[in-house]
Amino acid sequence: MSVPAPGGPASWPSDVTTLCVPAHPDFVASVRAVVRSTAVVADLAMEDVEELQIAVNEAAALLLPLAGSTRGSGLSARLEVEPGRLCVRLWITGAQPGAAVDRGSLAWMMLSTLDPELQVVEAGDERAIEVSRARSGSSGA
Amino acid sequence: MPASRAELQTDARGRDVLVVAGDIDLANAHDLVTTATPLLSRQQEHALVLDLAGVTFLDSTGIGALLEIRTLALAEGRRTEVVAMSEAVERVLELAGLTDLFAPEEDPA
Repeated sequence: MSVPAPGGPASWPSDVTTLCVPAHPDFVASVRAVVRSTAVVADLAMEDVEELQIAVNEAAALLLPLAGSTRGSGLSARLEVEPGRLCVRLWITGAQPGAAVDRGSLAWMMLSTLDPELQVVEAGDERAIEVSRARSGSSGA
Repeated sequence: MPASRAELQTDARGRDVLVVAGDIDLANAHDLVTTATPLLSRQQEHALVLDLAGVTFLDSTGIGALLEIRTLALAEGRRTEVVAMSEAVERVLELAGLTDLFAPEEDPA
């Protein structure tokens, strides 16, 4: 599949997909599914698609315990197809002051192995994790 | 995105085998522990045997569930063996550096 610049096929109305699901483990599979379908259309190799799914899942596992317990709190995701790569930002709001991503957990170990350049944002009541995966053969790895 | 399901089968050696399929993730990993725990009181002369060939996704909470099952089995003096695993399981166990932890015991033929 050839993929025109900047990221997705010319017929795509946008290179950005956003979604918000309830901040509950039952909905993480939905986020994984959107990541998978976007990564496939963005022409990532299957191994990269699967590893990005794992990374997003582990990011969600790290963020959900920090989400506020208020009914209606959400887990948001922003997927952006850039030239040669797919970037995913996952975030929650309503975090308590001082609540931090657990960097001693197995989830963190797996996530940081999958994407050593991941970004964590802890600002105000928002906690976010950004991961990305380059298309095989692209220079932006 | 299939949720996980588990079924108890018997292998050629007459051992109980818990056959698990679907996704094991943070939404349902604890269900696996709940399903496996009653098996610890059966066939105590054998290892606890898991078949994960049909597992389509495994995450760190799923690994946590497998480790919890292993710990519960060890407390009963039993090993936990994974006799089959999908590529998805193999990749994640390798990523976590736990590939050998659930390996079947070599048959002393």
